[in-house]
Amino acid sequence: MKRRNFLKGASLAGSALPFIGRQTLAATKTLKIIHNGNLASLDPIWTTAPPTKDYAFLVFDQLLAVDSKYVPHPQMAEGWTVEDDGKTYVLGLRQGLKFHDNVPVRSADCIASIQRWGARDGFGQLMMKFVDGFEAIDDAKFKIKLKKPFPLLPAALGKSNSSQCFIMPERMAKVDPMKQVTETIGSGPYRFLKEEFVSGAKAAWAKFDGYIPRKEPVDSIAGGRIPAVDRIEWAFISDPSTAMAALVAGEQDYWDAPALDLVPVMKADPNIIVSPRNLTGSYYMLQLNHVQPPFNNPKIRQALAMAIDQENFLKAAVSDPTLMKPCYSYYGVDSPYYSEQGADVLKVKSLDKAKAALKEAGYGGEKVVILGVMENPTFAAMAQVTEDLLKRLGMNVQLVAMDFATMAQRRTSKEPTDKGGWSCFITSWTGSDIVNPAVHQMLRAAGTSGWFGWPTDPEMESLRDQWTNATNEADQKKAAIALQVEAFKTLPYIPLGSLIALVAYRKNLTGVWPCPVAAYWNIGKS
Amino acid sequence: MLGYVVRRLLMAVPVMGVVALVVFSLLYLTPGDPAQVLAGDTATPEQIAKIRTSLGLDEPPVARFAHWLWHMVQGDLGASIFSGEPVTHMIGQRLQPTFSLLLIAVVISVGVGVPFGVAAAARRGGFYDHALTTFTTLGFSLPAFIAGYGLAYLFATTLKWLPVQGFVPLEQGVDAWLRNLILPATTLSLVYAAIIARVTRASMLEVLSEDYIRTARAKGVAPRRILFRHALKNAAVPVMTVIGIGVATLIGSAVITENVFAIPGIGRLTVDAILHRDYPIIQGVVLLLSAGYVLVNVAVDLCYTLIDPRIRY
Repeated sequence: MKRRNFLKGASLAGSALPFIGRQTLAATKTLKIIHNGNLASLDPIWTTAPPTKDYAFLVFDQLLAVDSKYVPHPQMAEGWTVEDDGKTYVLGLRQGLKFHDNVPVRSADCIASIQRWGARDGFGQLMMKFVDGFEAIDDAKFKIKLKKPFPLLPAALGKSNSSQCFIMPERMAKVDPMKQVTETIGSGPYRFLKEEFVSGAKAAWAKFDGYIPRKEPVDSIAGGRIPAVDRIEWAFISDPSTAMAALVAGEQDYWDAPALDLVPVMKADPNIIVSPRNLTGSYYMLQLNHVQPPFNNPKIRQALAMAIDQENFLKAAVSDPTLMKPCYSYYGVDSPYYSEQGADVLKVKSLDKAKAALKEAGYGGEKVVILGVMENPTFAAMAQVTEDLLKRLGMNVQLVAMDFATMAQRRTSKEPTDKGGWSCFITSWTGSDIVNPAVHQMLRAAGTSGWFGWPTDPEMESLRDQWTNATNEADQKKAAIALQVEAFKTLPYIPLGSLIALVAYRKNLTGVWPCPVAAYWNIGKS
Repeated sequence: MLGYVVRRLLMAVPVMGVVALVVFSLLYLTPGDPAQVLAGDTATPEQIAKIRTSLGLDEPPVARFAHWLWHMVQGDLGASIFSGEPVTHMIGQRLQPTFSLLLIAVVISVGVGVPFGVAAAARRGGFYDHALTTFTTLGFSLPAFIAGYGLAYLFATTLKWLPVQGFVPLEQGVDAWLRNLILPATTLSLVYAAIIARVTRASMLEVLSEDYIRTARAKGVAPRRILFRHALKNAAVPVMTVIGIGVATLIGSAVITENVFAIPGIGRLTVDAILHRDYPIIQGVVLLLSAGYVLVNVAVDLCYTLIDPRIRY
């Protein structure tokens, strides 16, 4: 063969290879998603990192799942019955459920999964305090025996905020909850393609042909989880401008967290839809350190709350007023316990009154250290508003800029501010994270064993117990609202209102439904 | 020659040992706790402590360093704190995108910078010389993220000639691989090409004023032959030095370019690891980069002998 002919042949072969590849891909419907987070861990029980939760909703399934009103419905379960005066729950599995390795889902898998989840999750830990034992009746039915009635059990098993009770094969669920599982076998609508996974860069899933979705229409995370495309790919694009350009150019189909300043550009493009998806919103909070001056003084906390105008904080983050929701409650606006009872202190919004209250409280010029997480634009903006407000109140303020990892370590310090401690920081939780006292980690006042800030109020803890032990909805609501009223006296944190997050996607996507988590089943592509 | 290469490589061992110690110490002193980050907001202090223990983060720093060093000399760089995957595997996944980017960037930089510098020196004060001044000023002053956005806006978003982002492995086709690399490599090579062009021009001007060039001109040797055969060869040593240093510098610049064009390379791996305090990855990457730096310098030294036969080791 002559050299020239050889080169010609090789060149043709080379150019044909990518063509063959494209033909194959064209027959496959692929949903391409821009994901802002870095999917690092593949164990949704071991970590509560949002990308891991989003991954888990594709790979794993839940026994029960809550709808948009937080009412639990069967998901993998056929249904459940309550026996023995509320002290026994019997759950039956739907027929034909199987894991991605084609092994049927059994009661033993569910029991082990509940136990592993119950060792890590806050609501799960609360539930496990009531659990006396588990019993597999057969492979498709099992009992959860309780020491005393716990009517919140279905809500716990079906909850939408992290971490959710995902069902894994027994061998995975038996792994120490403090260690990561290494397998990615679930029974959800999509199989994880581990061989294509590049941590922090790319992840891919293929439709699980053995998945049997429920017949009911999707409602929040309840209802049918239909794998509507053959393949899902995530690209982790951290640069917002690049992400937007990729979406506009059609290289990607969906952006889960578009930068708010780029929204007007995308709205101007007729091929792009920008809309809210997580209607529960993100709730922002000013967390205060209750064990160090000056915010260990309840009167100073009250004075600060009187100065806060939630709209100033929300406007610093977004310019579109339709995306802002002031919230004068410790529960989200879609919570059954939402109420403004006790929230008068938040409606004062007067710097002069706050200054007078601060003077009366005996503020002595103690340094206030704000931990400002600058890698999050909303946190950064709100930290700066806090700094300005505290200065105008006449407080001695220092805003310390840092990344999240540094803040995560520094907020553990209970030391004074001049010894590496802190006074306050901005944080946020989703609406489903603050829907009720069981999942609401910040509505606790258990002192130094609690969440960062360590508020102490035995009355709050007692009211939470009353809510947990209440056997009917009316009593639950009464206890939940009493808890809020007490919280507005103690001010474990100061609510700053909520923002509605948007998603952006190309017009040819179908089936995008309102959902409190970033779930991608049911989304198809025309 | 072989003895020189072996000596240079052996000298790299203590250098990398010092690098390892410095990196480990810096990470130890940097605030931030990976156990806190991965435990999440709902974790109790007890759970965080358990995670810290399970990851070995509660061991004394000296023990941790000794443990890491012992495994490192056996070729085991440990596992990522977050994903649990071996660091060597994670770095291996990222090598092709970064090396591809560097390769194309070097080709563009040398391909543009050297001829540009030669042309500017050949007609000092002429059109090419002025053009080179403009180009190098732009190249030096334009930040990579601005240049990257500008190029992406023009060639990807507006003209739709090239993709906005991403990387396609070589195995999936040369054309797709190259199309995805043109914009990031061009962005990356702007500064580098400017430096090479400047050094080439200066070096060429010096050589062109030598007696032997004047003699060649007097003998009637063709101007092109004088430029490329006589002058460029003798001017190449400093240019080669700059190319070598530049390759090492490019690795650092690649962090921004990889971020702008969403290329899953070493740079992005490093940034993500730093943000999450994933110590084993940071240590592994820094060791790899320091080894790369040493190898590039050895390669440059060897190239000197090819360009200038008077240089012997």
